[in-house]
Amino acid sequence: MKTNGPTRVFINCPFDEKYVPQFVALLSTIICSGYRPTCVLELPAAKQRLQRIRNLIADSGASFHDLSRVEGARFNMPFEAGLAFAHSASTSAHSIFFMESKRFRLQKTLSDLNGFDPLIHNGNVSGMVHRVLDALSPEQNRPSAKTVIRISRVVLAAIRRLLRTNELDELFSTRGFKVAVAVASQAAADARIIARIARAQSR
Amino acid sequence: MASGLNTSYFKENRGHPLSAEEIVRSAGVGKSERALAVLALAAVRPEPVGAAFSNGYGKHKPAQRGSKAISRGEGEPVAHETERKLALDGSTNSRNGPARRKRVNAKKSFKEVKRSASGKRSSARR
Repeated sequence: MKTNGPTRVFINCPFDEKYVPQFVALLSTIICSGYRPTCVLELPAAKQRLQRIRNLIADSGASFHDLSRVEGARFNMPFEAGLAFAHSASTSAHSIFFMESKRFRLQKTLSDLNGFDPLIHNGNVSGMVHRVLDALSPEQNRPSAKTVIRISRVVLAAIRRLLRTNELDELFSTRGFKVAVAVASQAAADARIIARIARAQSR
Repeated sequence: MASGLNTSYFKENRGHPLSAEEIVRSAGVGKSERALAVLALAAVRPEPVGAAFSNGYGKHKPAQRGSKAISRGEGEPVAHETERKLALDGSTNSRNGPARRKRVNAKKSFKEVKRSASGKRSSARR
């Protein structure tokens, strides 16, 4: 049976070394929930990049925008959040989620969003997994947060190993993103977590 | 909790989730990347997450796997298991076991054997 709507989830987050564990947790949780993560990293540096970002957002059923990187931040993230917001305002087929690591900080940094409660992940893996599961999965048939946290730790260890052994040059690259998706999907398949959700939903 | 204009979309309109295979295929992941993923996962986690209790050997008894597998006539014996069996047979010059003790004792005098067996040392060594 096909899904009722778009099954892609757009990720808009910082691409730096400190964010790697949370990025992997975000990616793993989306995959464990049965969705396909997508990101600007998939786009090669080429012309019409902006249009392709818009297409990626339009093809997604939801988007996560982590605006927790306040110091030394680039302007790509708020810009993409604006694009996604405009898209979600024009259609009912796109859910948009803002994320922060600290309470009430988004009200200062982006006061235009007053009235929207961001998902507070506290800057750690556990917080990230719980908040993304809250957003994506219904109360029933939700994958166990404990299992998803364990999977994301295994995925992180595998990716760190690939980086250490020079099998992978960089995580935040086109190939790095594909490898991360492959690792997380394989880990979720091994844990049979997606199959369990699908079985429960078909009942 | 959740933010956005239509946050209930994924909760209410959600159909069947994609399988891991479909996720990988739609992400355009190639064979080399998949092979890399399998290898990396195997390196950091020898057993699949869900298979801990499904193999019949229990989760925390890796040392017993070899002997159980041998007694059932399945699988290859693990290295230390092979070594122990051979040493008990006395067919190798293993560092432990009765064969080594017999060989070493043969070179000693009766007094030395007796002393080493009782654990006493001569006063000269102290």
